[in-house]
Amino acid sequence: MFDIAVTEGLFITWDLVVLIVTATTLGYIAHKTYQPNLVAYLITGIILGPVFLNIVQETALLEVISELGLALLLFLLGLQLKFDAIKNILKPVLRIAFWQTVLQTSLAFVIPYLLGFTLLETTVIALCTVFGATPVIVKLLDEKDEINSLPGKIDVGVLIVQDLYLVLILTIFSAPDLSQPLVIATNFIKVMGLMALLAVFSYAVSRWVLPKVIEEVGNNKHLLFLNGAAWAFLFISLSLYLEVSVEVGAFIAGLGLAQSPYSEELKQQVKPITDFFMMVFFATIGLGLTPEYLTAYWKRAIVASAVLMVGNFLIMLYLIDREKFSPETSFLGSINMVQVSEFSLVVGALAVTRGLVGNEILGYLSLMAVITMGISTYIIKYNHEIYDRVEHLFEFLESEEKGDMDIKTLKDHAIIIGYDEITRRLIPVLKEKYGDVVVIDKNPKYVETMKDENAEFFFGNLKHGEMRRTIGLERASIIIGLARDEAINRRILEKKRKDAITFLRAKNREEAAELYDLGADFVIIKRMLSGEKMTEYIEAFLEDPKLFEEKIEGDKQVIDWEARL
Amino acid sequence: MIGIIYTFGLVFVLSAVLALIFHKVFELTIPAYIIAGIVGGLFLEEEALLELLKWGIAFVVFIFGAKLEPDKLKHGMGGSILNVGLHIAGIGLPFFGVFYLAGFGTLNSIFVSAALVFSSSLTGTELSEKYATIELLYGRLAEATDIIHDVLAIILILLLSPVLFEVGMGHALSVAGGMFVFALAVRRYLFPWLFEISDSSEELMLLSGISLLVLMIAISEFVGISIVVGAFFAGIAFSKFPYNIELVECVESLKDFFAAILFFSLGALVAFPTTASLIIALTIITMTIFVKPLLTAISLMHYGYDKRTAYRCALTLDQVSEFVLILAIQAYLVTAIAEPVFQGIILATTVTMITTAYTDNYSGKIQDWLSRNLPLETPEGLQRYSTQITSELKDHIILVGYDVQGEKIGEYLKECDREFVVIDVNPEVFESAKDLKNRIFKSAKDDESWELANYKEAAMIISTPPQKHISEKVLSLDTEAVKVVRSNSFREASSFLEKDADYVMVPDLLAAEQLVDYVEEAIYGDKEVIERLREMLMEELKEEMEEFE
Repeated sequence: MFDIAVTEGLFITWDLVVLIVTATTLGYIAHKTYQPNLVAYLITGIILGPVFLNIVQETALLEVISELGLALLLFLLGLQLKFDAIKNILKPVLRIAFWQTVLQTSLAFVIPYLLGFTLLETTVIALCTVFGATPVIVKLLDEKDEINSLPGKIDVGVLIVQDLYLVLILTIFSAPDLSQPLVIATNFIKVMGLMALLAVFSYAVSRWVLPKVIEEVGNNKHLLFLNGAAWAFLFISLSLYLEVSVEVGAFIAGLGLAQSPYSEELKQQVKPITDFFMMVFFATIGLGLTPEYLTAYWKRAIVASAVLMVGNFLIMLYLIDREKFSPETSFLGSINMVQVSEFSLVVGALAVTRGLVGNEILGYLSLMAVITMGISTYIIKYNHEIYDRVEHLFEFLESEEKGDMDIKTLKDHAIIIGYDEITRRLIPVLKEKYGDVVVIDKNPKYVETMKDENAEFFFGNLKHGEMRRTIGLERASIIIGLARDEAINRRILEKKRKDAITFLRAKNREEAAELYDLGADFVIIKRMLSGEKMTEYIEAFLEDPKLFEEKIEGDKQVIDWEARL
Repeated sequence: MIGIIYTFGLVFVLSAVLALIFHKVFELTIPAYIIAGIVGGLFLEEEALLELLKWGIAFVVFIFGAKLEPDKLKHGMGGSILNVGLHIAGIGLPFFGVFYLAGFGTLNSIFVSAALVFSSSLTGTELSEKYATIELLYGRLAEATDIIHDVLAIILILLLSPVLFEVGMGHALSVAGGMFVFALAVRRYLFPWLFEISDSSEELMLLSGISLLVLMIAISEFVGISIVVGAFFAGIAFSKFPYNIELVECVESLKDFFAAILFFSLGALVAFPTTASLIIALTIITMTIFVKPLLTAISLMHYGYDKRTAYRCALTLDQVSEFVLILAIQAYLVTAIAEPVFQGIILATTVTMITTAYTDNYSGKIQDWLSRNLPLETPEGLQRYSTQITSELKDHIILVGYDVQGEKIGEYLKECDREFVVIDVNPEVFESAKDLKNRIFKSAKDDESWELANYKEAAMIISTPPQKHISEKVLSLDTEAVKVVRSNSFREASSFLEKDADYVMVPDLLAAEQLVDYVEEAIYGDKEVIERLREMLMEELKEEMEEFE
């Protein structure tokens, strides 16, 4: 697959134009009907491919883009694995995830077997359908602002463990000969060994070399992205060279960066390009299907989807409840997880290339993905409403000893955007009044300094919607934005809570007037502030030079003290 | 044949390493990609990336179009047009003649003149200095000139389409016209609507942008005009504020991805220089570094700008534009450019991008040197602002620097009817200082300025510019006056206090104190207090704006 000649046919073709325009159009329709985008992309391929219109061919370009997309997707997946996020519920999550994997794999195994698939097909299907769809769940919960709720955290935790399981499966499938268990086993051991080596290397570099590199990069986001891409391709090339699966290499590269404070910003930058490439990947899967493949097992797909959704829900409900969370948490945490992951298609496509199963199985998996994702989207969207309706059915789960632990969400807090000498002095003032102070800056050089401050620090850019949600912009009581970035200031005013106090900084007077019009409470121009204070001093001087002396005495001490630091 | 994944590995790892070094030394990265390409080219087949680099062109031009704000041309339009005109007349046309007579043919001569004339906003905005001072007059002039250059380069590419792609001129122009109208319609009607129904979803905006981009490019390729034209119009369709913010933010990483490939592959195409390519490169480099800035300076001075502005602006325009590279690569792909011209242009572009980082860093010093050693002046009659002293200066206050902070102090002094004189050399402030009774539009480093200001009999000297040498000059004056200077760092401030300063303004400290005052008032005050504070700040701002206008 990698020996593609790069000279020909890699530029924009009409095939690509038709594909992208269709995907975009369907994307809007999906958005309006609350469907995940990837359902739209899959359907794009199905419509344009042999199943319906048959007007777009799988070209070398599409192949390269989807191959890159898959690698980037795994890189992004690794990048998102922040163990910090689930630290305080780690133990229950690990237990849930372990048993969930065991039980769900069994269920995923039994369903196709009973439906009459061969043993090999059953195995592939089981391994494909065991995961929940991270993008669907995370995106919807994020939009509903429930990602940091307790059920949200449990789900994310379980998904993280599933991702590790996925990497194991990918490793198994990358064995040179899959018919002999011994070959699979030796390959597995070899791959694990290499992975461990890569992981150690990744850890060492990201621990000792990368922070220095990233500090050098400063707030140049182009350079940050370039280094991220270099890091990813280094690992991808290495794993290719060592004959380990490319996806696993990309995943480890991401994992190596994930625990660093810079991962959030890097993620925001890798995401758009991954989104675009993945669109092509999923559409290509649709393109590869023929009417025969798609309809070969359509009845079984419907039955399997129904059984799987109910089964997964019950398994999760049982497991979460066993950890003694409240019935509501158990219910919400399980009902969010009733779909098949986009990785079913990734693993399925891999199994087809390896000649393990035929394209009909990929058709079957595609149908399951579309059905379960399509339905579960509405379930997640209306999860609370559903619970309200059926709450009485789950009364039997209630008992004295069950309850939810407190999950800290940022609320009624203070946000400082842009860290410098000026805002630094505000931290204690705000801390006293609001308790939680969050500081965000797009320059990574403060990551170290901020460890000593009495505030939570984020490195990133508020232009990204996800970052705005991470710092709880919509729930803050006071926002002091010194970013001097018009676009960011506008977003703050759009998204802030109605009664939040805002201090924003403008570049010039025209912009300041505009911010007032848009609803800012106070707009400051730094030079105006210092001018005001200075005028106060001169006023004193004109009245009586002695008074001036007194006024500036304190400042002189601060200057001397700061100079010595 | 190395597989494509390895190729990407090579491109990104090499580029990243070199870009880090270049960022540290020159604070810009584009030349690093090209040099990475020269190194990487040793391991790659020459044509390995040709198809992919077109993606780079597409995204670079698209982003340029999407970020284009015609409003930026409002300031200094006249000066910039004169500037560009002189570049074309002064070096573009003469060298077209020279190369044409030397037997390079029309097309190759056009490429060389384009390299001589066009400088670029893309490299420009990467330079820290230019970015930071975009609010200053010379920055705005340079930006306006760059934008005109870039747009002219795109028009040139369009006009060359018939020659490069064998299509009729009328055909090319009508298609381009049609695409432009389509882009404007999309910009006016379709995108605002899409933005609304997508609830500003980043993923959908990204896809919409790419959809239009690939569509426009496919049309361009289909009818036989340059993809640059299609990409530019697609960008224009998205350039409307505020829709472009989310989009640019998203597409930028795609641009970064492909731009690295673009510049890398350009580097990979560089061959060992021949005498011919060296001569061409040297001609372009010499003209760009020495002659073009002079032309810029002369044209701006004759438009009435002062020496300082003219030189500073000239020093930010001394590089060859990436659009010239894009033009050259387009010609290269259809083998319409002579090898030495192509090689010469890449070499010259790379070198001038590096030298521009230097001239940018030292622009203050170079400008001083030029002011002293060149017999160039803004013609008397054209000068816009002049120095004057109308009252007897005694026991007065000398205010050095009249930007926002200085102006604020000046306002206050006017209010209490205290005699004062302003010294400032920044043309930016001339507009707001032109009605003052006493004003000295000369450098605070000249003794003459201080004699005029009668510093020996002043009661107080307040210096607001942050430059160390100005503060030191003030501290070195032999006078009884109370000296207040400014510094941006505590360490420096402390050393000034040890010397002879009575007080050192550290703006961050002053601003922080004032801000803490305000914030405390806002969070502990009741509704009334907040409302009063808000009104006070707004009132203040309004007053300032009225005066400013």
